[in-house]
Amino acid sequence: MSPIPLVAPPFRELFVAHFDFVCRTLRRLGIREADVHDVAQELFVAVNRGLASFDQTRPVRPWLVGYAVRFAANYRRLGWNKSSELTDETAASSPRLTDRLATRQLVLRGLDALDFDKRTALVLHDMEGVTAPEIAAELGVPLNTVYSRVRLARVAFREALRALESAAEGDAR
Amino acid sequence: MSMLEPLDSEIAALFGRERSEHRQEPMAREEVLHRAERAIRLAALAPPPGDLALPPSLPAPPRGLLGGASAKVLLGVALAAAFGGGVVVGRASAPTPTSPSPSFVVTASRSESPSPSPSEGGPLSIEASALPPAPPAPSAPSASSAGPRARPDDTVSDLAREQELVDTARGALARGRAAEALAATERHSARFPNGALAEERDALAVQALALDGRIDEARLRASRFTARYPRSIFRPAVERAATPQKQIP
Repeated sequence: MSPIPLVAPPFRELFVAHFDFVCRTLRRLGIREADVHDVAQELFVAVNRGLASFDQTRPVRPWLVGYAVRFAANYRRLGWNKSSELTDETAASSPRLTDRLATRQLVLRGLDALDFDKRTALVLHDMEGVTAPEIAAELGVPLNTVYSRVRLARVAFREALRALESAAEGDAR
Repeated sequence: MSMLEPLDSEIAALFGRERSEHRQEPMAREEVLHRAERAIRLAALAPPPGDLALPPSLPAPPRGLLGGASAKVLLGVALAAAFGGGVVVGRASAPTPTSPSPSFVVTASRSESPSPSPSEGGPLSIEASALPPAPPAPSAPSASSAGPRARPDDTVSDLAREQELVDTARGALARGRAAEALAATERHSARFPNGALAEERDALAVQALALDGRIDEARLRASRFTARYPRSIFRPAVERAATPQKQIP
């Protein structure tokens, strides 16, 4: 008995190779930890549908990034993250914030300070190494817009980190 | 200036450490893979996304589990037909931010997670024009017919039984149990040959036959299906199942 090949042949291979990347990107784009796997599941279902028309000579990650950004944008647009602006694992109030928060939590909290476009640019370019032209192509924005967003995002992220550190020092005193 | 300066080393190091803390557990990966593949198979019972009233900017319908959802739509159609209504069926119980008001709404559920999908706005909307015609309802004779009139309670009860059999078939199909799925569709056929859910039953039967490797029978049944239900929302899935080389959406 052979199963119906409704799942595109490269699907499982693609899933295994990129699941961590997709979850990481979704998380960095603001999907709550508790929702990441559900959203990733739906994203891969959509990816399976898109595989038939995907040009397999293209790099996969920028293509997946396009899905991740759209899913994250819809997630935010529909307000599913509103119930926890301070996200689940970053909501700890601590006398020594930097002592208590793991690096990941610190970074996610810094990213929370950015608007979605800048956050996306920083995550894709500086954290995942997607090139600016690839980002521009996937997001349908001018290349210079990507550069501008990355620059502004870096500044805003550093400021957010400084603010977090100041808050931690203030709490410690 | 268009090029970017290199990321400063302190931030780069921070990002490097952060990345190492994002590993997914293998069990979680397997679980999500299993769920995704199951959703893909169940979604085969639904029309392709282009047939649904989704905004084109959205990447995909939310929960792909339209097997249960489509059954709910048909159940609604059948109930409407049975009670002489027939316009509003399966309407969302609560408005959603993106659901246009005249839409019918498919509310697919998933047992693993009771929370609604965050990614694309919860329920899928299907325009009324995209719905299949109401299946023949021999159990609801016209007022002028001479036979005994079906009581609404009986009709609802029959629909519940039909639904149970169809759910059994769909569940078995999702688990790859072709024989079990086929048996459920045959029980449905024997008991409700022209039942309200006959269309979905016949679609599932084609899928089960294909899953069982009985491609010739699947093709024959698919041919009958498309002749009987030319505008069925299950038609794409039926055709894919009976045409293995063209099964990828």
